[in-house]
Amino acid sequence: MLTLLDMGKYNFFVWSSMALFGLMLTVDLVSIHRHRRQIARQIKARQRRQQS
Amino acid sequence: MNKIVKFYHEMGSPPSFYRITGYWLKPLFILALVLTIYGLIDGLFFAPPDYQQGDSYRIMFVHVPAAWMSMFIYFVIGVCGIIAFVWRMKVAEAVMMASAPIGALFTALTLLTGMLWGKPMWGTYWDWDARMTSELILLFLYIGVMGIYSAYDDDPRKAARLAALVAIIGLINLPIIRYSVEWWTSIHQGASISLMGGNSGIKDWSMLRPLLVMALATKFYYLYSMLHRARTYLLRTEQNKSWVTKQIIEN
Repeated sequence: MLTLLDMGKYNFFVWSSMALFGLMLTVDLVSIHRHRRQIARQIKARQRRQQS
Repeated sequence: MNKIVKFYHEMGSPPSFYRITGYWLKPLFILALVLTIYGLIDGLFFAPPDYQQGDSYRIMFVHVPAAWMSMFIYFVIGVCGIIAFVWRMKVAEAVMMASAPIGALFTALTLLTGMLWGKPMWGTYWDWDARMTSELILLFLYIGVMGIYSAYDDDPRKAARLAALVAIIGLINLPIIRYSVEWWTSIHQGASISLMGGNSGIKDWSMLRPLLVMALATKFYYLYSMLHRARTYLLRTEQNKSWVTKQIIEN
């Protein structure tokens, strides 16, 4: 397994790049869903206020 | 009516855009995920090492697709900016503003992975080289588009028109990024692939394949993320309309 992951003397640079790629896309994925939920909650609250 | 024209008109209407794109999200996400996994495994473990750069060139499999996306997304923003500015089309505004954060993310990723590639190859993380500087300006343009929009958040239509103006002006940076390595002396390498069949770029299919797969994966991810954001943008800006109330109640 370790041999498979070995990138010679470039381990730090290669794996840091891959980690950055994964991390940034995960943050984007989480943020789009959180933002949508937040907007939906705001609209629902507004509708409830208008009804009452 | 011609089916394509009908589809174009449907996509220009916020309720239809919201409804139609809702069906696309899941397939786009699955395609992006599967292609990313395949592309990374192929690029990291199966592609042969480069005869000059060794294993460090594998950074290319995330750096180059991210760089292509940073420019492609800005082009989309610019075109949508023109449509939003001239025809005041709401969906174009939504696509423009939805594209900006993901474009900024890909630009930041390009700069960071470029720095991680630059250190072992050039001996430095950063150099005020034409390619790197113009890419950094692209990041500032993305931040500018989002910043202008946020500054006039209480009037989304006006905010989108002003953001569109910044986006249109910023289009001039795209050919500068593309041709910077040819116009000026640069430590940055030339194009990774040559569409015109020239001598530059990668020739080995086992190296080219994961690169093209990753390029496709990032395109699908962009479409997924952009459509998700555009739908949320339309919900927010059209919240007084009956179709939004219906959508919120249904979900």
